[in-house]
Parts: sequence; C-alpha cells; structure tokens
Amino acid sequence: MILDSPSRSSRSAPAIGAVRRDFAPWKDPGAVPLIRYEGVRKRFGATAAVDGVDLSVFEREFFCLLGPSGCGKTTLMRMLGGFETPDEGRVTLAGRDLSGVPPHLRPVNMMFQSYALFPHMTVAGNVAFGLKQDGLPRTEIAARVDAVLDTVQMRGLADRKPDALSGGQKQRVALARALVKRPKVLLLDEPLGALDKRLREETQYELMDLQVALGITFLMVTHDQDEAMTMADRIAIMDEGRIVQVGTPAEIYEAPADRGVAAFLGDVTIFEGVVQGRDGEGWTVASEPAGCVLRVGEAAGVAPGTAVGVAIRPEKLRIVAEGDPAPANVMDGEVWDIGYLGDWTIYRVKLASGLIVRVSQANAARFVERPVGWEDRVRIGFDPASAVVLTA
Amino acid sequence: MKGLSRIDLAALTFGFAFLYLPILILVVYSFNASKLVTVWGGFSTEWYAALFRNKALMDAAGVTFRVGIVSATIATILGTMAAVALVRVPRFTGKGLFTGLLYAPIVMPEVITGLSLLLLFVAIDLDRGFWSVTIAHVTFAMCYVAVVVRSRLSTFDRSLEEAAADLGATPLRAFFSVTLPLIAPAVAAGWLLAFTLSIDDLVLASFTSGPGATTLPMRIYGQVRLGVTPEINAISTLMIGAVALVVIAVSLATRPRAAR
Repeated sequence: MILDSPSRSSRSAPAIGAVRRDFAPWKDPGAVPLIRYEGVRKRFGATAAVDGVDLSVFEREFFCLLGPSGCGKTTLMRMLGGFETPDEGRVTLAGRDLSGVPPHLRPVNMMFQSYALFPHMTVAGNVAFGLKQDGLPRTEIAARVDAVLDTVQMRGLADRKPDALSGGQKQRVALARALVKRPKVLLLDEPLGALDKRLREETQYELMDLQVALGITFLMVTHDQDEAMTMADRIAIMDEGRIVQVGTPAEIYEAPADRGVAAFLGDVTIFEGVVQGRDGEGWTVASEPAGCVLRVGEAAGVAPGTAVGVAIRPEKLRIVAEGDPAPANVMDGEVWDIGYLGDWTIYRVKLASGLIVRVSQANAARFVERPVGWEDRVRIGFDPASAVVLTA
Repeated sequence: MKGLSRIDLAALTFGFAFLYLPILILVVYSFNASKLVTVWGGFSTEWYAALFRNKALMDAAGVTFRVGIVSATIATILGTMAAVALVRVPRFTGKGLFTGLLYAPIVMPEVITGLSLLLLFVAIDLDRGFWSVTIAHVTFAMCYVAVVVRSRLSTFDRSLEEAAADLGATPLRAFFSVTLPLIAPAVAAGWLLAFTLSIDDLVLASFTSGPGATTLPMRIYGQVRLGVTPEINAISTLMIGAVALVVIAVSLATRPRAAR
C-alpha cells in the first residue's frame, strides 16, 4: 500500500517520549470531539460490561481501546456501530445523538474481527454490497469498487470467493468493504488478530498510512499492547468496564496512572516503599524490597510518610559488574536468569530481599569484554528521573 | 474389507438383511411375470405397464404429489420463520416454552394429531379433501423443517448479518441477501424432508381426507386388504425409488462444506 502521507517527523521538542506528528486536538480546549460517550453504562446480566464511561474522540484521530479480554472495550465500540444499546448515558457522533438509530442508518462502518465476509459473494460483490444498499448507479459502484480494491492491492483477485483467499487477503477485502462507503468513523475490532506476526507488523504501518491518507477517524479495539502503541494517536486503557487512563502511547508508557496500567503496558518492576523526604528536585523513598533508600524525581501528591510504588522499566535500569560504579540507586544482586533475544538481552536479577528485577540491555555491540553470566554478582541502578512514583 | 472381523461381518450382514430383505423381496416380486404374488414366474415388466393403465392408482399418485408439493412449500416457509424467530430473537417471555411446543408434534402419536385435526376440521366446518390433507401435513412437517433450519442457524456466524446491517442493509434485505442464501441448503433439505413425510403419510391422511382426495398410501392400503397384487409391488417400488432419491438429495444438500 503505497500512499502519500504527510511527514510524521516531529518539529517541536517533545515533553515526554516520542511524538508522532503535530496532531493533538485533545490538547486544544476549543476543539469539538467527533465521538462522545457520555456516562455510558451497559450491563449483561449481573456483570457491568461498561461501567460509566466518558470519552471523547476527535476527527482524524487514530484512537485505540486497549485492555484485557472482557474489559468492555468491544462493547463500547459496538455501541457506536449500533450493535449494543447503552442502558444509561448516550453516544453522540458529530453532535448527533445516536440513541435509537439502527446500525444500517449510522455513518460508521466496522471491520469485524472474523472479517465477516459474505462467503456466497465474490470479493467485488462483498465490496459492492454497501454501495448497492445506497442505490448508487452501477457505473459508480463499479468505479468505486475498483478504486478501493486498488488501494488495498486486491483488484487482481476481485472475482475470487472469500474461501479462496489467504488470511491477509481476507483482511484487505474486509478493510476495503468497510472503507468503500467513506464512513465518518471506521471501527476496527482486533483488525490484525488473525494474521501471523510478520504480516501483522507490515499491516500495522499500512493501516497507519492509510488512515492518514484518507483522513478517516479510526476507532480500534485490541488486547495487543504493541499494536496499540505502534498505531494509535491516543490509547484508552480499560479495565472492568471503566477507563483507567487516556493518553498518547508515550504518556501511558512513561507516566502510567497507577500500578495496574504500569504492569499492563510493557514490563515494569515496582519497588514498594515510603517517602522519607525531599532530595533536591525530587524525593527519597525508603524501600525494603530494594534494600536501600531510592532517589526519585519530582512527583505530585506525595509527602513524607506516603506509601508509594517506585516503578522502573527494564530498559531504564543499568547493569554493571559488582564493584563498578553505577549511576545512582545502587542495588546489589545475583543474576538469576538471562534471556538472549538478539537485539536485547533480558537479565532477571535477584536482590537480597528476594525481589526479582528485570533489566534489559540493548546489544549494541556484537561482542563485549566482560559478559554477564548466570549467578554473577552484579550491581544495578537507575537514574532518579527514570522512575515513576505511583500512589495508586 | 480390512479391519472387519468375522463377527463384525456377520453382524453387518444380519443387520442389513433385517432392514432391507423385505424391501428387496418387494422389489424382486414387482418384476414377477406370475400373477400370484408368492410364486416366481420369470422376469417381466408387465405390472409396471398395467400400473400406468390403472386410473385409480394414477389419480391417487397425482393427489399425493400435489399435496406433497403444496404442503412442503407452506411448511418450509412457516418452519423457516419459526426457526429464525427462535434463534434470532434474543430473549422473549416463553421462548423455552415455544421451542418445546414447536417440537412436541414430532413426538406426538400421529393417531392423536390426526384425530385432533379431524375434530378441528369438523368444528370449523372445513370440507374434507385436498386442503384438509394439505393443512394436516403442513402442521407436522413444519416442525421438522424448523428443526433442520434451526440447527443450521445456530451455527450461523451472526457477524455476517451485523456486517450487512453495518453496510446499510435493512433487516429484511440483510435476511434475503445474506442469511437466506447461506441457509438455503438447510431450507432445501427441510422442503425435501417435508415432501417425503407427506408422500409417506397414511395416518393423518386417513383421518383428514375426504372423497376425491385419496392419497397413494391410502389407495395402496385399501387395495392390500383385498389382496396384494403385483401392481402394488410395482408402485411401491417406484415410491421407494422416489423416497431414496429425496433422501440422497437431502444428505447432499446438508453435507457440511469443506471450507466454512
């Protein structure tokens, strides 16, 4: 899928992590959201699938609902398609209340997880189906079907039946079928879930390029954090029917709202402890599992005596041989396990307290002079600004 | 045959002989040249020729086929509608009861169904004839249609209908352009099943038929009481052939497709 897309390079200096492009309507107080969930609740029997959600998604945004299975993300998305009705609250699209509007009258299209291609129709027939419902003239239908099949590079297989397509090809047809009506919002239910790993990675970038080129708002549901991090402008983390945190991938990764989000998104080690006092710009935290007083950066809402968790990502920890100088927050331990991944090596270091800390190191050089081995005594440490202080 | 012990083989032979020997004898004797049913007098097709000259039997065959086609068609429409309602409508009060009620006529003794229909037709003063037999056959055949269609619908991927709705199809158009083409094999099998049940039926027809609407099974049964003639053997052989064809067609129509 080769499409012209605006440059993704960032110009302004980012405050946190990487910034994809200068597109942040959520930061603009005057911007009007395209999709709005207001106090939405939905129960299935005794369980609350969606438990009071307020959410705004802006035009042209690639928004992702991320969470474990059963967290209510799919229900929330299906409410926009009209396949679920909220028990309470309402969903609006471009200012219009969607309550009582049946699926076939909504200006959104969905790409189903199973693709839901009509097996008795050809690829072209599947894609033309939506246009036929609108009663468009034959010639226009044919032209638009050809154009969208070109976009997803499936024009050569227009006469095939879905049974004769590979998984990746079916995925493209499902995408073409959902895009051909030029919806205001495209809903994607685990769009890459059925593809193998290599194809999934490729398709991720294709989908991102397509989204930018078409300027359509994408609302995606996934349980795959890598997928969400790679593709989305913003992510909403859901758990048990509630939204736990909304933010850009970098915000959520580097500044998780609570322990749950920190642990859900990527790997993390959390040192439990109690705030001791100020330390220059930051704080000191006495942590029993760490076996020392940790120095951390600035944190909101803490005072001496507050119980906190100091969360540190594996790639922000440094590992050196015992006796060598470490940057700060030095902890001694023993290498418990080593996982060599080629690009990264994961060390699981056991501290005196028994806590196992994950440390990852990029294998920037092919050979190192003093490789770290199993059961080596090592010293790990991290920069005070790298840690996140969690109070929830 | 590989993997079959002598005991297996004996059991198989005996079992199939038990099932098919009577039918085989009937078929063989339909080609008997002798007028006596129990004496073999050489091969002949004369009884088939005689059969086509027998107006009473041919009329009865005509009635049976007309009743079969009309009742199977009505039963298929009603049975499919019932199946769709039971599978698709999410939850309504008494859904379980309705499901049970739909299946009850399958296990109900036919004599009772026949008697109750007769009482109904008498009560509403419906002339007994072609339509009373047809209605009787619709009542019990639609349950079988509903069972066949329902089992297909319950494994039907619901997201296909949602996709149709999502792409702008009204519920009715989604049904006719997506659901119906995909459950068509089950609907066709339901029709064929209803048709077979109708041309087989003796009990319900005996209760609900009237003058001028004698079905083939009724005619055969009536004649056999006066003595079995080779003509009866011949028409029975033809019926066996017809039913066998339908059964094969049903199994082909409902055979699961390789890629679904």
